[in-house]
Amino acid sequence: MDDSSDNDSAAVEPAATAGPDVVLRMRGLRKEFDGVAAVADVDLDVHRGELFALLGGSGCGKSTLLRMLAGLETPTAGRVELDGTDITRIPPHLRPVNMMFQSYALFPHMTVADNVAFGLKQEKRSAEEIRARVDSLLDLVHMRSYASRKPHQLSGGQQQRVALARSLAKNPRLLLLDEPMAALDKKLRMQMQLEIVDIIEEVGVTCVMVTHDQDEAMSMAGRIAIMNAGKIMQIGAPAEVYEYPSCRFSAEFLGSVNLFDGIVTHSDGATVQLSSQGLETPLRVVSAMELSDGAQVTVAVRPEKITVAAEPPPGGFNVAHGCVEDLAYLGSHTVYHVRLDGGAKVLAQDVNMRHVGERRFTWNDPVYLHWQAASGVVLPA
Amino acid sequence: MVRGWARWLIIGVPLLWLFCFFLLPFLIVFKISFAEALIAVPPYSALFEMVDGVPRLKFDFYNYQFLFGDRLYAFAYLNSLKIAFVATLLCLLIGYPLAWAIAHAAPQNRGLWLTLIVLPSWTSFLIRVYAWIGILKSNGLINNLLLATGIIDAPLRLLRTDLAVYIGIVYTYLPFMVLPLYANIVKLDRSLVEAAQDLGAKPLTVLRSVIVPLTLTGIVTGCMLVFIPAVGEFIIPELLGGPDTLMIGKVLWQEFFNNRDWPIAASVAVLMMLLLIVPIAVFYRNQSRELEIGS
Repeated sequence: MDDSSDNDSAAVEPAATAGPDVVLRMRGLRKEFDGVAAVADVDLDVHRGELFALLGGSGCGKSTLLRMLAGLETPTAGRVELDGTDITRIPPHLRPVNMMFQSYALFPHMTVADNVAFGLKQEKRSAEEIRARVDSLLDLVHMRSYASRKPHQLSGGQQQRVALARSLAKNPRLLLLDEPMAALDKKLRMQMQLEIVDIIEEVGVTCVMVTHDQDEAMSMAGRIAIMNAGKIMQIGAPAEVYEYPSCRFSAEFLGSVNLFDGIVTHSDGATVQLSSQGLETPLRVVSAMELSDGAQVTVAVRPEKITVAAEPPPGGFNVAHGCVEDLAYLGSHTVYHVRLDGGAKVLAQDVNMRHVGERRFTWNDPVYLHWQAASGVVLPA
Repeated sequence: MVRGWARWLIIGVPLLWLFCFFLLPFLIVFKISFAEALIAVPPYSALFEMVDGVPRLKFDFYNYQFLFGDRLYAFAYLNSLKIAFVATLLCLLIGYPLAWAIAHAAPQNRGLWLTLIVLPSWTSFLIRVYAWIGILKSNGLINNLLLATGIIDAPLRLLRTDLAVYIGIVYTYLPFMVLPLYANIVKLDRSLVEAAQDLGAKPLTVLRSVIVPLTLTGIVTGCMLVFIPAVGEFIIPELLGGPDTLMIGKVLWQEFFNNRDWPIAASVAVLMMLLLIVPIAVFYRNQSRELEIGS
């Protein structure tokens, strides 16, 4: 995990092969169902020891991609390499890859210990060895005392721990997690996210997970690939993908975002200045992009980076004026829906540092919105 | 209170039905098996005698002694069990892949396949068995076809053999095997099969350690639904079997209609019932286990 996260953060393309140690390599990987591409020519490298998340909405192809890694789906075209060996056509039972299934897929007729031992028994190991390995795995997931229970006697979180132990039993070179938290309730989810990451790091296994939940991807993964319509839209560390979306889709998919369309009036390799309809002042964004004057671009600004003020802020850039149309009190923070004088709607998020009785703004209050030049991101058209 | 009353009515009607038309006749048959055969109407000695106005039951074990004394009966019982067992096994071997294929067909086609499985049952059972006579006899469909293509010179003896009986039983009872298997297989979580593969299980291991145990209730139900009636099967061995195809159902018929020995026939029936208690108990336990799992 360490070697991957401190790469230069500007790199948005898959890292060059010279750098990190690539365990899993996908090239031109494609899967069609009845002529429709579920996964469309994906190139992806996964580094040794990292927890990599495939993030996307339902039907974006992330699960199909994962199933191809497990061997449960045969690619229509392309190649999967694990440690330099082509495993594209190797059946699932011969791959050094194990998967934790979404519904856990624990064998209901076997005890916890037998479930964990199942993979080991296929390797013709001695009973002694299997028992020792099962015990140490159950210790790892804190389920030793439940060894003789049946899966239906366990809670959701306990079932997940057993499923994790089972998928780690054979020391896979690649661990796959399919929507690991989907079957858990929200409170348990946070706890299990941390626990699973701890266990995976302790074991040191390379891991690819699939999720539709951005919080889950951001809190668990070292790197994230955002998928849409069978293609990978952006790859990067969570902060990188969130702070520097490379396209409209990943900007809108992760969290909420305000998008301002504008026309470039000045660009010098350090900042870009734009004029945008409906804003009080020109837009200014810190960006190394060299853009020609008059180019149509979009600027993305996250709601939490926008400050709400009653007085016009100084500076003369990135200022908008409007009135509070709606507000959502979410406990830790309040989201203001501000209708700009120009008609556009902007979300601004304010941390509730004081008690709610002292809320600064309420419905129909006129407000000024402002953000730093470093807070925006230019999205290429 | 109305609820309690209504509940008793709902349970009571089928219970009364079973009592009148199953338990009572069986008790009568049971008692006849301890009576003596007479040339009279009805052809057996009185079931009880009135002694000082009190009915007194008399049990005569002669019929059972006779059954145990004659090896024909023991042979008929064993042969019935053997034929039923082999036929059940054949049904399972044919029925399981069939049920599996239907359960994994496209959902919109499954109904069609199941209908096709059940469709022959819409014709009379007797007519279907007669149809097999037409297929199997010396100048029947199969023999004519083989003779015409020159594969054989003389017709094969197919009808009036044990083979014909097996064909008849497997053909007739296959739906009873396929339907419970289908109901079980269709519920099997596919990810369990995938998980087993993922953990390194070879195809046969997946079958043995995951698929079979998880569809075991369907297997047991199907086997019992074929085995239990097959043991007592009469029409199929009578119409398709040879003179040496000895099955207990046929013996029962002969004792009853040909020999008009009701007490012997009744004791044959009682013994058959006892013989089937084991499989019926297995069936019952299996059903209640399935209910438990389902709940």
